[in-house]
Amino acid sequence: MSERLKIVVVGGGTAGWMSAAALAGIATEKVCDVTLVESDEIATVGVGEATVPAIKQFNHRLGLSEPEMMRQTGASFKLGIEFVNWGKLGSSYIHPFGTFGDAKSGVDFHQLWARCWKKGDAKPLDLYSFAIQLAKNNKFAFPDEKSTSLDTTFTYAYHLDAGKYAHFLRKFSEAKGVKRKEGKIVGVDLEPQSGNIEKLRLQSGEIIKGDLFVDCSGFRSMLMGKALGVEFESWKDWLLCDRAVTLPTEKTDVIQPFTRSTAKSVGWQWRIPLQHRTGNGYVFSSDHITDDHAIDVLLDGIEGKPTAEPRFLSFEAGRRVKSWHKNCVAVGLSGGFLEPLESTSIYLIQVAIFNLLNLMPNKIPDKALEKEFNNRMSQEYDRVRDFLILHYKLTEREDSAFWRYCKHMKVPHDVERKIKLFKKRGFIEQYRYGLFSPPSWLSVLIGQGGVPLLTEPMAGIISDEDALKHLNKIEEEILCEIPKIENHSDFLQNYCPMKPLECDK
Amino acid sequence: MIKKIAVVGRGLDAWLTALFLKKMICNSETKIKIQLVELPSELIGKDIVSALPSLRTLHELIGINEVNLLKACGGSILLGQRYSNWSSPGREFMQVFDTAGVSLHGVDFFQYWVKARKNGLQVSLDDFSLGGICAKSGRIAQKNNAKPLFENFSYGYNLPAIKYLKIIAKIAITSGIEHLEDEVTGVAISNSCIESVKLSSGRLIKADLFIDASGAKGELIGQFKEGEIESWSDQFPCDSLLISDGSKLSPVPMFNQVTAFSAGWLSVHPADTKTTFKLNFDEKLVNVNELPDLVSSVFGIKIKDFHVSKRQHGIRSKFWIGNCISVGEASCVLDNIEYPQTHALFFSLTQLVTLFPVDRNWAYESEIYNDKLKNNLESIRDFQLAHYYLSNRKENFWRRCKEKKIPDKLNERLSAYNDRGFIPVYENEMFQEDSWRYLLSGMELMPKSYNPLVDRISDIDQIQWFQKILKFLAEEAKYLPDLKEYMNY
Repeated sequence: MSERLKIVVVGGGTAGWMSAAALAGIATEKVCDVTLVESDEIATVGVGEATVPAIKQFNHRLGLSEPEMMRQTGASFKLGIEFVNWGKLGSSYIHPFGTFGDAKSGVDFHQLWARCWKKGDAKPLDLYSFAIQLAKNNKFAFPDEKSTSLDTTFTYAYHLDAGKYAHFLRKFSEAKGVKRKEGKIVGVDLEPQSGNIEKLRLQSGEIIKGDLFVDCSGFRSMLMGKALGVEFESWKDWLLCDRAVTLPTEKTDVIQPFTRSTAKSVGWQWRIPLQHRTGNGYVFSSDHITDDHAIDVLLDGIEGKPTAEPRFLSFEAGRRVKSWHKNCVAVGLSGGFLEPLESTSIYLIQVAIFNLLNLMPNKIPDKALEKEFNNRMSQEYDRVRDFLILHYKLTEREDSAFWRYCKHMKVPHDVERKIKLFKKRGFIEQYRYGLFSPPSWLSVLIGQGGVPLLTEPMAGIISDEDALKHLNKIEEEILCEIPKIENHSDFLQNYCPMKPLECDK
Repeated sequence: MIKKIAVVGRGLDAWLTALFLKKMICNSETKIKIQLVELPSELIGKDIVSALPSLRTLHELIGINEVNLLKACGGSILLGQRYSNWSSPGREFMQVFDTAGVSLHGVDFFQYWVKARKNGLQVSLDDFSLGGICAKSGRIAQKNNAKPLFENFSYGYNLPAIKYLKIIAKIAITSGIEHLEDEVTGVAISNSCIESVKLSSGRLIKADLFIDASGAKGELIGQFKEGEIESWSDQFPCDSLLISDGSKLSPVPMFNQVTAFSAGWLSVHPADTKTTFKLNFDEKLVNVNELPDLVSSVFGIKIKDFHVSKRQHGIRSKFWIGNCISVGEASCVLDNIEYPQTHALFFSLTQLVTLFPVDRNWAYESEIYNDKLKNNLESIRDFQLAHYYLSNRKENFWRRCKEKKIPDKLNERLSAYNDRGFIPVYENEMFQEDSWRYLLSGMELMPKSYNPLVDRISDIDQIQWFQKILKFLAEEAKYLPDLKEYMNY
C-alpha cells in the first residue's frame, strides 16, 4: 500500500468542486483525503455553461446519474454550436458533435462532397450531418454506439447551470468525505529547502497542511501564479478578447439543443438555453469597445427579459508555462484561460483532473510525472487555442478594426498550414492527442472558408456517379429519420424535468 | 498537375511502392501514370521478411488475400518475438503484437501488474495478453472489439523474400505498371528538381515526381545536398549481417527466437517451407571464416551456405526534396532488431498518398512528410537502442552499448518508466506503451512506484482478478485454431 495522500483543493468554483469530487469519487478515501478551502466572500466565475461531450465521461466515472444531474442543474442537451456572422455577415453554420457523412473505401466524405458540389450535384454540407439536422429541427435522441445506422454518427453534451453543477458536485463530494473549510487564505508558506508549498494560513488563524495542493483559485492563480511564481504566457496577439459581460434572461418556450455564437463588430455573443433560463454573454476586446457600449450590444442581442444585473469580468487568453510545479497542480483558470467560444472551459478542467489521476503522485512527487503532466496540458491548451484562432482568422469580414486585425493577423505556423492545405485540397491533419477531431475542423473550415479548390488524388478511386449515390443515400436516410424523433423540449420534460422549486434557487 | 511518377528502386521497397501508388492514386480522375525502373536486386535468396502487423493493412489496401499469399509463398504468421539472454544470460521475455490485460477504474493494467510484481507475482506481462498466450501455445485469434482482451490482438508475417517479391511484382505488372530493368548512371538536377534520370541503356527517364526506392544507396535522393546521411553507425553495434537457412520447423512456431550472444544476436525466422537464420554481429569481434563454427557452438545450429553483408545505419536529413521523395531504406537504414523495415516503408507510403501533391506547390506537403517521417524513424531508432543500452551482459560488445550516450527523448522515456511505469508516446509513433513495457520489463527494469489509485482494490481482490484474466485466456486459447487449421479455414 502507498501512504495516503493529503490533498488540499483551493477554491470552490466549478474547477474546485470538480477536482474534489473526482479525487474523492475516483481515487477514493483509500488513496487520499481531500480538503477544499473556499471563501464565501469571493465570488466564482462559474465558467462554461456550455460543455463538450467529454463531460459525459467525467460524470460517468463519478457514477453520477444523468437525469438527476440534469434535473438539478436545469440542463438541456447540446448537439453543437451555431456560428452566426463569423465567416462573413449573414452567414451561419453549425459545428456539430458529430460527423458529416461517412468515408467510402477510405476516401473522406468531404472529398466526395466537394467534387459533387463543384459539379452542382451536392446539397449544402449540413444536410449530410445527422447531428446538425437534429439540432436545426430542435430534436433530440440518444446516440447508440452499438447500432450501425445514423445513431452512431453523433454524440452530445449539455448546457447546464455551472453554479448548480458545482453545488451538485459539492453535495456529492461531501457525501464522499471531502472536508470543506470556509475561510479566506491570507498566506501561503513554502518549505525553504524544497520550495514546495507547506501550508496555507487562513484569516481565522487556522493552518492547513497538505502533500499536494490543487490550485482552483481562478484567475488569481493564488498558488501557481502568486506563491510559486510560475509565469503566464499571453496569447492576446491572436485572441484579442479580454472582457465579457453576462446577463441571464427568462427561459424560452422552445429549448434549442445547441449553443449560438453570434459574431459582432467586436467579439461575439453567446446564447445558451437551459431549462430555467437562458444564459447570455458578450465577449469583447476592451481596446475596441467600452463597457457601456458593450452592454448596449449585449442588450440588443438578447431575446426575453433579463433576470439579473449584468456582470463584467476580465481575462487574458494564455496559460501558465507549467500547470504542475513542485507539489501544486493548477486546474481551471489558475492554469490558463481560453474564451468559451468552443465551450472548452469545463473540458480543460476535466483534462487536468484526469491527467492528475493518471499521474497521481506519491508523498514525494516525481519529476517525470510533473513533466508528463505539463507536456499533456500544454498540448491540450495549444491545440484548443489553434482551433479558436481559426475562427477569427478565417473570415472575410473587414467591417471593423477588430475584424480587419483578425483577418490579417499572423497566426501560428500550424494554423496557417491547416488553412492553406484545406483551401487547396481539403486536407485535414489528424492528431492523436487533443480535443478537436477532423469533423470539427471541417465544419469551421467549410463554414467560414468555403469549399476546397481541388480534391485529393485518392478520392478519384470513386466515380462521380458512385460519389453522388453515396451522398444521396445519406441525405435520404437523415430526411427519413428526423420526423420520427422526439422534440428536444418534450424529451427534457420526460427525461429530466427541473423541479419548480429548484428553478428559483 | 502530376501526370507521371517514376519509381526508381529495387526489391520490395520498389515493387510495393509502385503497386501501392498505382492502387491508391492512379484513377480516371487523376490520370497519373507510373513507371517502375527496377535496379539490380540485392535481395538474398535465403532471406525471410519479418513484417510487423501494418503490412496486413497495406495488403488489404492493395487487395491481397492473406491465405492465398501465405500459401503461395510458403509464409507464416508472426505473433511476436522471444528474446533470450538479453538482459543477462538465461533471461527471457516475449515482445508480442498485443496489449496486456485491461484497465480498471481508469488505471492502466500495467500499474496493477507492477504492484503485484512487488508483492511477489512471477507471471510475466505478456502472459496477460492474448498474443502472448497464442504465441506460446501456437494458436491464432482474430481482433474483436466487442470482446475483452481481443481488442488489440494483432499479427504480422514471416514471408520468404524472393517468393513474396515475385508475387507482388506479378500483381503490379498485371495492374498495368510500366516496368523496365536498368541501372542509374546519372541524375540531372536543376532548380532543386530532378529533370531526368539517365540509365545505363542510354534511356532518359523524365517524370513529374521521382520516388527513390533504391535502398541504402539512395541513388536519387543522395544527389541532393539536403539528402545526405546522418550516420547512426556509432550508435548501433552490429555492422554485419549473416543470412542462412535450414529446413522447416515442425510445428512452425509463430514467433521469432532472438538470442543474444557475446558479439551480437541471432534471430530465427520460421516459415512454412523453411527457416531462416540471421546473425547480426560486430565484424571486428568475429572472424567471418569461423562464422559456421560460431553459430554451431553458440546456438547449436548447423549452417552450410550463408551470405554476409554490411549494414551502415543512418538517416537522411530530408526525405522529400524538390520533386524527389525517398521511401524505405532510401530514407533510413534502421537496425534489424524488431525488424521494423516493412513498417517504416508502410508509414512512408501512407503519408505519401495522403500528402500526394495536387499541384506544383508542395512546400507544406513536403514539410509534413519530412517532419512526420523523421519523428517516426527516430522513435523506432530509440526503441531499438533501448535493446542494446539496457542489457547487463558483461562482454565488451554489450558493455560498450551501455556506455553510449542515448538521445534525450529516450532518456526521458526511460525515466518516466523508472519513476512510474508510464511511457510518453508522441504523435506518429509506431511502438506504443505496451511494446515498450514488454521490452523494459523484459530487460528487468521495474518502476519505482505505481499509481496510488491501484490501492483502491485490495490485494486479495487483485489476485482474484488476475487469476480470472489468466484463466479466461487459457480457456479461450483452447478453442482457437492452430496455424494448420487457420490456413485451411
